[in-house]
Amino acid sequence: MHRAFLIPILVILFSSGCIQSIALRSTGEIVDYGLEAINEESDLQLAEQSIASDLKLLDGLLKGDPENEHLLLMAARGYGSFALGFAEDSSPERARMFYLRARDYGLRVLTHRERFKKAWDKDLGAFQQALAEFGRDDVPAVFWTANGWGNYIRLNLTDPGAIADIPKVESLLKFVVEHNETYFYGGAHLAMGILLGSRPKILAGDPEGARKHFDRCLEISQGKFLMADVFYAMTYAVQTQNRELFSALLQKVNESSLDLLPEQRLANAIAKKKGEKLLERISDLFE
Amino acid sequence: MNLGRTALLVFLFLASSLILCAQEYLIKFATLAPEGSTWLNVMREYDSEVRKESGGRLGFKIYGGGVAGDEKDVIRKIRLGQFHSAGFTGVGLGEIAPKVRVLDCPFLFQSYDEVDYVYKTFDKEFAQAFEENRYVLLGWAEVGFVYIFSQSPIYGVDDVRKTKMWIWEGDPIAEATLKSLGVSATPLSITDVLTSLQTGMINAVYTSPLGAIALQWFTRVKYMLNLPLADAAGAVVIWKKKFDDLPPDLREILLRNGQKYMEKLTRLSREDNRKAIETLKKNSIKLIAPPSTETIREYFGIGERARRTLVGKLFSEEFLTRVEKAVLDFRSHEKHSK
Repeated sequence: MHRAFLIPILVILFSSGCIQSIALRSTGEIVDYGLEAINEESDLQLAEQSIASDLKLLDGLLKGDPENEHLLLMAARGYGSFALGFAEDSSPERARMFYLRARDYGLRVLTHRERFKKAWDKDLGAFQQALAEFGRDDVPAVFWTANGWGNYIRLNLTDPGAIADIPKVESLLKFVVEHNETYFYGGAHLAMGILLGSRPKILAGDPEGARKHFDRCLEISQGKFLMADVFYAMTYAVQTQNRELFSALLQKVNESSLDLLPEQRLANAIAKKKGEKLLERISDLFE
Repeated sequence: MNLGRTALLVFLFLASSLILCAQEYLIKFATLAPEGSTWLNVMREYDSEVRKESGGRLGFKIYGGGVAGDEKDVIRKIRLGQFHSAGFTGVGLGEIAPKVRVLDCPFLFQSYDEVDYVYKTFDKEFAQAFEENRYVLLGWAEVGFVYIFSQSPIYGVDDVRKTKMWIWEGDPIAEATLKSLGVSATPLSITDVLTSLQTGMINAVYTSPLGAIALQWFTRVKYMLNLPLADAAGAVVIWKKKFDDLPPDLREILLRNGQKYMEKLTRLSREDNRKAIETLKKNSIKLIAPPSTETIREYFGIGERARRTLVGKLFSEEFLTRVEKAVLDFRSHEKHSK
């Protein structure tokens, strides 16, 4: 009797796609935990393999649920991290592609707002007006979009079209700084530091501004997010030819324990590897 | 037998390590161009080719992104022997070989073919101008055509006069040009231009399309007068003493590849500037064509007068006249062959 009732209900559920959504939601949670576990991983090889397959799983889940903001954000974040950790140094070409994917996943969340959808590829004025409609809840989407976009530009400085988007990325980062500057260990300050610190003043750089952003990021993260020290050394310290600062920052990275920030063990392991390589180039980078 | 073999191995080891670490001739090089830019990428290609051909005896140590200071700082450091070579634009070239600034003169060129023709025709004279000032030219690497960008539309000379124009402080060519145009310009350092466009202290600037993007000035202007104001020159040079210290074979490698790679760079930066114009259009910058040949002629007349006022300061009248004549000859030849 009961069973006879149940079957039609199941049929209805399946055909309406409800079950599918429930299934996707729980798979999404598995991916959540999976990424969390990856972020805690200190073995770079194991992390590289698992993050790659998780990203494909995310791509697949998004095919079934293309507007799911949570999944889109995970993909934006995941592709950005994968590019930084496992592609940038060995294959900038691949890293560029992954950063662009990261940006586009982030943009898919932001362009749910009609105004931003119309304005994001228009001029800076229109872009900034559309951005002003967002609030504190939108900080993660704004931040991970900026992260993918800014890093894409950083690896694409031969393209005038990419360079022209720097002011837009700066606007996104300023938004994050204004609405929730502590989000992701002060990551918006870190990204601003990189943008302003990697060019001389005469080419629209701002070393002093960069230093303030890096210092604020270190303050917010209590010096536990080592990627900040690495990029501080790579950009500001080199640009201002401050060899002492360069060595001190990288020395600190080198001596820091991987358990400094357990939930970001992977990022810190990557930072340590990058820091080591950077330190080897010291005689090339300073007069 | 065994001993002989060991000796041979030791010898081979020593010989190979000598090749690896003995960079006999290292050229310290400085430029404002940042890491990752087309400019620096081609410079690195030049370096690796020189290293390859010289079997590792010769190479550059490259300092990009202005870390060695601005062009005037670098010239001072070269004199002190701390640097040997650099990529310079107008400012630096004016210091070390004023005569070549004829290339920067207003309304002299209408196309890059004309520019190339002048490089070729006056090659020896330019090279000599550098040598007289203790530098050797390794290759031209221009910034490219410079245009006027403004917040309100500019068609004729009268519209230029109405602008609050920026001028790069201390640049004699810009001074002569803007004076002849009848503009009273505001001198500012490059780093203050963006803010001054924002506050309204100035409302017009001049730069290359790529420059307008890299400096972010394009976010504060709406129009570009689509008539090249000038072709901003650039060159890679080396301190003559350093060059003369090199053995003849290395000098040859350096010069030949310098020319080859700087030609490549010039080609690529012209392409970048073309792409930059497309990007500007996408960012709502309107390109304005001068309304009539009459207007163009008026601009050209102003250019001619401005160039005359530089005689005696940067170059001789005789030299200027020859350069102008070469451009006109080339132009009319092109016209007839079309």
